[in-house]
Amino acid sequence: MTGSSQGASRRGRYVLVVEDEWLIADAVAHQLSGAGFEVVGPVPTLAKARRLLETSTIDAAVLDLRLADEATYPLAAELAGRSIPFLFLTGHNREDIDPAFRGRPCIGKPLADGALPPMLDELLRL
Amino acid sequence: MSSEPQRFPIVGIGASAGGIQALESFFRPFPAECGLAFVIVTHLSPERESLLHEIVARYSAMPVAVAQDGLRVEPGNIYVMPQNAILWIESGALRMRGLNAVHRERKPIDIFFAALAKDQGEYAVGVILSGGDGDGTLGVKAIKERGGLTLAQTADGTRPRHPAMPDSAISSGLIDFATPAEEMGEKLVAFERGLGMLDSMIKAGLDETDRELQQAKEAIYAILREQASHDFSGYKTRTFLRRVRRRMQVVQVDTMAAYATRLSEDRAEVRNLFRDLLISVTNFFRDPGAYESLEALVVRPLFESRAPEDPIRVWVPGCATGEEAYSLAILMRERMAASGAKRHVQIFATDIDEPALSVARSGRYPETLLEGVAPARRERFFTQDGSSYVVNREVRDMCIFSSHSVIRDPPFSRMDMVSCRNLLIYFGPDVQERMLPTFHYALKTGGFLFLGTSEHIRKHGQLFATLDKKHRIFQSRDHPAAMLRLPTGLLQNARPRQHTGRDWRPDRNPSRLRQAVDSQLLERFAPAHVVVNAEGDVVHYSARTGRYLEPPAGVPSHQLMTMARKGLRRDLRAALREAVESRQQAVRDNIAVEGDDGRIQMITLTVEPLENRADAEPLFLILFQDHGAERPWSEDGESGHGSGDATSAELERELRDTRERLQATIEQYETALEELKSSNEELVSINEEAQSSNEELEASKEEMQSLNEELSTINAELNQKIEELDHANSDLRNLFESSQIATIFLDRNLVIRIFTPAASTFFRLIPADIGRPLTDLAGQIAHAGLKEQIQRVFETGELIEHQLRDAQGAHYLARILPYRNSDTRIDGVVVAFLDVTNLAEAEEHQKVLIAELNHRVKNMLAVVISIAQQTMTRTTSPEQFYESLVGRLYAMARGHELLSREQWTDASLRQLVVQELSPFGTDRMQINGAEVRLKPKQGLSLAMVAHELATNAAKYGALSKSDGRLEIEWSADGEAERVLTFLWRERDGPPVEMPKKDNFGLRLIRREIEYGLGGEAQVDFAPDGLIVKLKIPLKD
Repeated sequence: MTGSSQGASRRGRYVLVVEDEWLIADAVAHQLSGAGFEVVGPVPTLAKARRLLETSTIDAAVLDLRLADEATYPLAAELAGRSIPFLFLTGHNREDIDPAFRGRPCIGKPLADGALPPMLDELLRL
Repeated sequence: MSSEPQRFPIVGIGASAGGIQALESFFRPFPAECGLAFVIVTHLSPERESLLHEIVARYSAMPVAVAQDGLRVEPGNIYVMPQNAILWIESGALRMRGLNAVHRERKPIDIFFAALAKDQGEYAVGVILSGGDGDGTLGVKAIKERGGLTLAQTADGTRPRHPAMPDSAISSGLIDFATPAEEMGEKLVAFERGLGMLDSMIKAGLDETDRELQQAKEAIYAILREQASHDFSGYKTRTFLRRVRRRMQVVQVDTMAAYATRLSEDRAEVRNLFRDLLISVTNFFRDPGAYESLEALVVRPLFESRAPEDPIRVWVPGCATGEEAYSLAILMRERMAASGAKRHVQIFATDIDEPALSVARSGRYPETLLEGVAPARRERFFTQDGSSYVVNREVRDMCIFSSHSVIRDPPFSRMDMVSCRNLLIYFGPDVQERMLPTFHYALKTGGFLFLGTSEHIRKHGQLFATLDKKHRIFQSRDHPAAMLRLPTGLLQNARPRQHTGRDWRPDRNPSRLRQAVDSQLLERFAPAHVVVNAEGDVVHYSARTGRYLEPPAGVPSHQLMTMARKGLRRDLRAALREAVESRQQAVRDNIAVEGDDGRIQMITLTVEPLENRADAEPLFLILFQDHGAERPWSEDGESGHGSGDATSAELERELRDTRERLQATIEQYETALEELKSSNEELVSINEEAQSSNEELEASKEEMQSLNEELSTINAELNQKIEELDHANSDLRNLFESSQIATIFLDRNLVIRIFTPAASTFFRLIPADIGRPLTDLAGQIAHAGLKEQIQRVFETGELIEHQLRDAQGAHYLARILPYRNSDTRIDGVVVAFLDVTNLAEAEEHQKVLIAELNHRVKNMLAVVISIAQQTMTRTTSPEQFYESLVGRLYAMARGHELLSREQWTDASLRQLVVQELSPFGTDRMQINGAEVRLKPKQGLSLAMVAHELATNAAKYGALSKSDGRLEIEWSADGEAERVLTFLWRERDGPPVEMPKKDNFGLRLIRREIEYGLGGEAQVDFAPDGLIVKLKIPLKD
C-alpha cells in the first residue's frame, strides 16, 4: 500500500486542516496522521488558520470551502501567494467553486476512506 | 312685367366642395361697378366660423358683406351666407334663420334659389359652381320656371374640383349657360344689359304691323312644327315671345330673324326652345277651393253612381311633373277611405315633356313644393326622405304616366273625368277650340271636366254643362253632333273644318235593321222636331226643320229662341218653360208660322221631356206638326220670275257643282274613316304593349326593391363589422399601451411599421421613426447580429429567442417572430424584448440554493458517517449501536426541525432544551433562564449536547432514579450579553462514577462547544451529581 511505502517521505510534511465540523475535521486528521502526515490543526475558523500559518510550518493544506459563516477563498489566495499547495474538501460541485480557484484539486464530501493521502502526495509531488 | 327703374338682377351663387377656386374665377373678371347683386350660398360646417367673405373680398372689387336678416339687397354688392344659418329672400331683402345644431340643412342652395325665383321672377339668376352633391338642381328648376336665368360651371377652363353639383343641374336640362366660371361674368353683364330690351321687344312682337317680326315668328313656328312636331302658333304670343327672347339672350342673337336662322341651322337649339316653351308651374292642390268643390261635385258622385266593379278612369293631359295627377289620386284615396269601398282608379297622366315625366314617375318632391298639402295629407300620403317627400305607393300605383301629346296624338277615351288645369292657357284660341271637343270625346256621357281657374269652355256650352262656374267644373253633355276632329298626324295649316254633322262612331245597337227603319220613318213621316236642353240650346235637329227655324244673323248659335221663325217664338218659349217646370207634356195648337215666302202655316207645337235620362242632363223634345196647307199671308205675296230659263240653267250648274263637291267630300270622309280605324287599331296594340312593359317595369321595380333591401342589409352588416373592427382596434391599442413588452413590428425591408409605448421608452423611439429602417437607428436595439437573426426568421419562418443583458444589468429576452399576413405569407417580423431581470435573478438565487443544499447535505452525510463510525467503535452490540446512533440522529433532526420552523434564522434556547428533555418528564426538572436566541450552528450544537447529557442522565445519572432531579439554568451576560453561561446540575442520582477516557458523549460535548462554537466546557463529576458548565460566545 502506498501509505507504507511513502510513509517515510510523508513524515515531516505538515498539512493544515481547516474544517468547521469537528467530526469531519477529526476524520480528516485521523486519515492524514494515519497515512504518515503531520497534521496542523484542525481549526474551524479562518482566524485560527491564519494564526497557524504564521506560527507553524505548513507544506500543504486541506480546506473546507465554506466554514460556519465564511468562505475560505481569502485563505486559499494567501496560500497560493505563498506557493503552498492546497486542496478543497467540499460538498459543492466543482462549477460552484469561485472561477479563480476552479482549477485547484478538489475532493468531495463525504470523504472516502484513504482518498485523501494520494491526493496530498500528488500536491506535494511526493 | 313692367320694367321699373329700380329693378336689377339678383344672382344666387351655389357652391360647395371646391367652391373657393370657382368663386375666385367667377368674381375676378367683374368690374367694381355693375348692376347685379350677388348672394353666395355654400355648404358650411356648422362648427367652424366661415371666413368666406374675407376670401371673396380679396379678389373682388365689389364690397362684400355677411348676410343678415332683413338686409336689403343692393346692386353692386356681394352677400355671403354665414355658417349655421338658412338663407332666403323676401321682397328684395335677405331673410335668415339660425339652425339648430342637430338638424343640418342639406339643401341650402335649393332653398335660397326657390325663394329667389319666387321673389324676383325674371330677375332671378342661379349659378351652380363646384360641389359634391345634387343641391341646387331643384332650385334651378324653380328659377327657370319663373323665367329667370340659370348657369352652371363646366369642366373646361377652371375645372370644378367636384363636378357632381353642376353636372346634376346641367343634366336636368334646365341650365341656360353651361360655361366655365371665368366666362360667367361676361354672360351676366350681357344679361343685365339685355333685360330692359325684353319688354320692348315683346311689345314690338305683339304689334301685328311689324311685318319683319311677324315673318320671323311664323318662321320659328314652322321650324318648331317641323322639327318638334308641335304647333305653337296657338300659344299666347306674349308667352311665346318671352321664352324666345330668353333663348336669344342665351345664344346671344339680337334679332328674331337671326334667331330664326339660327334655329333652322341648329337642331339642338330647337330642342332647347321647345323645352323652355313647355316649362310650366304646377303645385299640389293648386287652388284648394277648386279641389274641395271637385270632391263634392265630382269625386263623391262618381263613387256613388258607378258600379263598384267599374274602374274609375281619369285623364290628366299635360301633367308635367305629376303634382296634379297625385293631387287627384290623393282625393280618390281619401274618398275610398271615407266610403270604405275599394275601387279601381286609374289616372292616366300624360305629357310630352319626357324629363318632367321621369320626375313625376319618381314621385319625389322637395318640401317647398308641398306647401299646398295639408299636414294631415302630408303625413298620410307622403314619406319624408331627407329634405324630400316621396309619394306613397298606394297613391303612386293609381297613376300611369306616359308620353302623349294632346294636340298631336289620338285622345284617350271612355274617361270619367278629364283634369286639364293650366294647360289651355298656353295655347291660343284655335288650339283651345280643338281641344275641348277632344276632351268631350274622351269623356263618357256625364263625365266631368276640370279646368284651371283662368280657363273656360268658351263657346262649347253645347258640349259641357257648367257645374261650378267659379272653379271650372263641367259635365259632358250627350251631344251626338259634337264631332271630334281627330288629329291626322299631319298637322297642316290649322284651319277649322266644318262639322260634318255625323258621328263617325259605329253604332253599338245590335238591331241595326230596326234602327234603319226607325230612322227612315223619322226622316220621311215623322213631324219635324228638335231636341233642346232646359236652356233652350238645340242638341239635335230632325230633317225639315227649316220651315220653323232659321239661322239668326251674327255669331252661329244653337239657341232655339233666336232661331224660331216669326210667330213661333213666344209660344215656343212659353211651352218650353211649362214643360221644364212641370216635367209634363205641353201643347200649343193653331200657331201661325210665317215662312220665307210670306205664306202662313198653322201648326201644333208639342214640348215633352225626353224619357230615359236618369242621371244625365234633362232634354226636351219639341215637335212641329202642320195643320192643313200653307196659305198666303197676303194676296199680293206672289212675285213674278223674269228670266226663268237662265235661272234654271244656273241652278242646274250649281246643282252639278254641289254634287261633285258632295262626292269629293264623301270620299274624303271615307279616307278619314279608314285612317281613324287604323289608328284605332294601332292604339289598341300600343295599349297592349304599354300594358306588358308596365308589367315588366313592375317586376323590375320589385327586383330593385328587393335588391335595395339586400343592399341595406349588407350595409347594416358592414356597419356592424366596422364597429367590431373599431372595437378590436381599440382593444389592440389598449393592449399595446398596457403591455410592458417592448415590441416593434418591422416589414420585409426592416422598416418600422409600429411599436408599443414600452418600446418607445426602451429604444428611445419617437412616432416619427415609423417608416424608417431599423438599421438606420443607432442605440441598443441594433445589437449585434439582429439583422442576421431577422434574416434567418424570414428564411426559416421560425421563432428565434435569446437573452441579453444591458449595461444596467437588466436581463432581456429578445424574441424575433415571423409576422404572417392573412394568407400566412411572412410579411415582416415582430421583435419583442421582455424584461426578464427578475427571472434571471431568481435563477441565480436558485443556483446558490442548490449549491448550499449540496454543501449541507454532503456535510451532513459526512457528519453522520463520522458519528456512525465513532458510535460503532464504542458499542458492543448492534442493538446498542442502533439505539445510540438513531438517538443522536433524532437529536440532530429535532434541532433541524426547530431551526427550519424559524426559517433557519435563530432558535430559542428554552424550546431547544425542553424539546430534548421532555421525553424524560420535565416535572423533575428545574429549567431557568431568560430567553436567548441562538444561531443555527449554535442551536444545532446545543441540541446535540443536550441530547448527550440527557441520555447519559437517563442511563447513569439523576434521571435513572425516580427521585433524581435535574437543574438547568443559563444566563447571557458579560459585555453586551456576549457570553452564554449554561449550567447542568444533577441531584439525588446514583453515585457518580468517572467515565471511561474515550467516552464519545463527553468528547462530543467538549468538541461541539470548544471546537465548533469556540466556547468552554467544564465537566465536574461531583459525587452527588454531575455538573456541566458551558460558556459559549454568542457573537463574534
